[in-house]
Amino acid sequence: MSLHETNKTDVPYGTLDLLVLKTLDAMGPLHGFGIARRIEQIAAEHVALNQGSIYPALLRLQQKGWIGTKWGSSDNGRRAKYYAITAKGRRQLEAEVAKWQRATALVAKFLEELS
Amino acid sequence: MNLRQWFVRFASLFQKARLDAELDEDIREHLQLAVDENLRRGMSQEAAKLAARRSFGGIEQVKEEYRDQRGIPVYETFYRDARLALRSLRRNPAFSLVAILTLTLGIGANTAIFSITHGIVLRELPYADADRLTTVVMTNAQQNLIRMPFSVADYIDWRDQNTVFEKAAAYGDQRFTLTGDATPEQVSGAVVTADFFSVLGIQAELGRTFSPDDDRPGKTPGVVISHGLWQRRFKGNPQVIGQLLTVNARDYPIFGVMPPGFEFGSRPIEVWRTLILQPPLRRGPYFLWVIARRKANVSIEQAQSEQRTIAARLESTHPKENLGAGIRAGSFHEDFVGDMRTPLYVLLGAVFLVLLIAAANVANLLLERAASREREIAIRTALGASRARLARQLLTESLVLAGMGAAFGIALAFWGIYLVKQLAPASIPRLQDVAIDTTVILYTVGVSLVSGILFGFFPVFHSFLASISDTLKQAISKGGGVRRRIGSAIIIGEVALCFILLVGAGLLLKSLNRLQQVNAGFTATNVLTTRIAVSSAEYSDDRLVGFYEELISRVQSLPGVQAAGFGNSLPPDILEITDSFSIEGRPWPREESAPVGPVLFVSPGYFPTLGIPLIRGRNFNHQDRLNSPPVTLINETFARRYFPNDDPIGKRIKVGGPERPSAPWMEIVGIVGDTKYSSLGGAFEPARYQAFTQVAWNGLHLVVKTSDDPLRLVPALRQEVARLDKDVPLDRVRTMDDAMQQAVSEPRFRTLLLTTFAGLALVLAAIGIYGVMSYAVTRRTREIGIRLSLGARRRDVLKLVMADGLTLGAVGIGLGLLGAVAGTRVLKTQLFEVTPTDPATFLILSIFLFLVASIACYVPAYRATRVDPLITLKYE
Repeated sequence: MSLHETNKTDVPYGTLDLLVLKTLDAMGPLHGFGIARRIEQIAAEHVALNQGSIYPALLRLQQKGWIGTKWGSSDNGRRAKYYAITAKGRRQLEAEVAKWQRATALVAKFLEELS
Repeated sequence: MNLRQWFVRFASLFQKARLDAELDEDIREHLQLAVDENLRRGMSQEAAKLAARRSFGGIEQVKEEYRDQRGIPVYETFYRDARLALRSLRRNPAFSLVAILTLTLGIGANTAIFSITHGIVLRELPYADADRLTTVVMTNAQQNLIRMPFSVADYIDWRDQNTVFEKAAAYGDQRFTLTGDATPEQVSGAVVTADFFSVLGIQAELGRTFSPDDDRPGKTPGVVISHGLWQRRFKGNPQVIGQLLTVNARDYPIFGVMPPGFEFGSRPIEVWRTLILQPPLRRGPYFLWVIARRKANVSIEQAQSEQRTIAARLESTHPKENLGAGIRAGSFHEDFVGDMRTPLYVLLGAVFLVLLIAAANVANLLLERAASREREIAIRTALGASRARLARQLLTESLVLAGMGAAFGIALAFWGIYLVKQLAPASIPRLQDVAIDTTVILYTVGVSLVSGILFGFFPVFHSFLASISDTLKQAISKGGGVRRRIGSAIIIGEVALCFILLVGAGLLLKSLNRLQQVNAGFTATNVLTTRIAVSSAEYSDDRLVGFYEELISRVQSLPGVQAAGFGNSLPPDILEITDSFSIEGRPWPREESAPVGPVLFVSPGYFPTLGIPLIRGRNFNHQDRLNSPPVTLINETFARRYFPNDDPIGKRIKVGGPERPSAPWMEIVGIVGDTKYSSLGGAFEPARYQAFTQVAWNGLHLVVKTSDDPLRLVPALRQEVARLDKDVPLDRVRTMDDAMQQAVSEPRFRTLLLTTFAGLALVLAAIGIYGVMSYAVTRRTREIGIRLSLGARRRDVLKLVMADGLTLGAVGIGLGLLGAVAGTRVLKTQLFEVTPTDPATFLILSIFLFLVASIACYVPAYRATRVDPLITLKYE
């Protein structure tokens, strides 16, 4: 992690899966680099992402059956592995999003009421 | 993790190469795309590559994390660590060899003794629902007997009154003479009531066992034979059922053949004959042992409480004969192997201590290695290996060692069990069935795991204590302190454990020595013995007496024979009959127990042959016949106990009490020396002798005193016996010296095993002390060099180093003393005339162990004195 990015935090534990799922849901099949860049673009000011760390996350999601892979070719014509969200992954995403929203709403309400 | 994930991860284990390649490709492509993008932004080739790398993060970390995610992490790490461990073991062959050898000895001894304990004591008996089998014995509070057989009358009464047992059977051991077409032979046999086999729940291999009413009067008695006898005497002929077997000169139809491996009791029985329960005329003789099967859901305690009721009822019905008689029910398993339990548990404890010492030695070796690896470990820590990861690595090395120790240990145990089967006395039940089975393997694996973690813990602990940054700077001097404290603890522990084992072995040795020096009251040198019984049905009393008398006169005329005689019992431990007696003019006191003692039927030559002195009066002679006035001899104990104030000679005694009015009075004509018949360890009992010519007893032990090796007489003896009756076999031919040896074979074997383990412990402990002291000397080389260069004499250095080691040794022996005082109590039942805290044994072994420790210290200490001050000072 570079020194000049000290005001950013690491990706909170457990949220990387959600970010990946949401990215694939919104963007359609992407290769690893595309996913990493997309997350960086959106969250650039908030988190410092080690792009490499999405690979273990991708594997984890595959093992759970939430995403699938197929080989395709990248923008510059080379062979690349593409990841796409599955139906099961989509259901999981909806559940996760709902859960996340409930949690943030609760925290927000708390912070508001007690401040 | 759910099932699917487990499955995927498990499957990944087999596709490592492909998955790794794919990940590499993914990463390569990822970086390429990043570089492309950076180039498009106008970066130089170099800067683009660098930026791509930076935003990707640590490639190796990603791969590691990916691999953890992919496979089954524990297995993956273990597998990698194990390979690493094997590699590092190969790099240190000397270390590995010593460590594995030590563990092999420790684990092998444990595996062997555990499988023996498991096979003999723990494993369920091979009968149907064996936990419901119950041994029922009579007791007699009046005579202090806690275990005696039933009489037929008591058995029948008991059988008809009990409600807690589903089935019951009575049996009595007997020697049978088999004659007929094949050579005559004597076999161990038993008479059994009809339900004997169905109580055990065992079917015949061929034919049938006894039917429920086979023991009623009027039924034709038959026999069931063992698989071994069937093979040997009938060549495995399947037509054997219904054929006749001549047992003690009577023909019995063969009902069935038992399956191979069927065993009951400690002796291999070959013939079971139906015992027809004739309505008894009196209560006694007592010769029936009883085994019964409890009804389901009846506990031993419930059964026992009913036995008390029945016994009380019998006592009130037969107040005279059953005075003080009780009935006791106990677990058959306990009864069968109960005697073996304590000795085996003691051995199990002993090998466990040996294993602890072995583990301590390995811990010590590992520590030494950990010390020399301090820099390696510090570097790996600095490079980012977590403590947990390092600990796991060190533990894995220990577990790999333990695993190899277990594998070789099991191999060693195979050999050990074989050896034990060869050397052990035949009287140990179930020993021949002992084998290494799944339970044993599980035990061994468990023990190895525990010991691996135990000694693996030391280096881990050590590496945690040695602070990382300090270690990098001054690994050697810092770690040394921790290391020395642990090393001291190891020495003290080893010496203490070793001392406990030594004392145990020392006590058994002393006890065995006492037992072997016991005065059994006879001279065993150059005496041959064999039991001779005729086929009773063909012999009248007169002919029987004639046969034995003729045999003696023929044996006496054989060359080299000095004396010969017969007796129905034989010292030191074959006692056929114990019976009560009355002394004329002294009615049995109401509240006291009836006097009892061994009864022997002997020929006049019996006493001189065995060197039993005639103290007073006369020996039996040829005038003592069946129809002459009955006479008897008593031993000194008898005379002292029952005639303390008057002369026994001329007094009269008789068998039994008032319940046997027909027993004739016998005149005491002489007093002979005391002889042991029950066991070497027991006391002299008040024995009485009758002339075999006045009893006509079938089944007598011939004793022959020869001028040289008695076994050379056997062929001539066999010939003489065959000449008199070709159907009479020579049974149990041996010398009296052998009989004496066999009498102590069990304690000797136990002692041998425990001494072996104590010796092993001693060697291991000595190696341990040597190792720790050598290491300490190496550590202190510099200090010693300085001392020497400042003018210390070499003798002072020797003293300095020795004092260190010997202090630890002394503390260890001190702790061992405490442990032994507390621990040797378990040996109590196995010791003869030695107390578990025998001061002489404790003292001698303290000195001995201290000497061994001194030698183990001396070698490294001596080496310290050879230190060259110049070289050591340059050392840092």
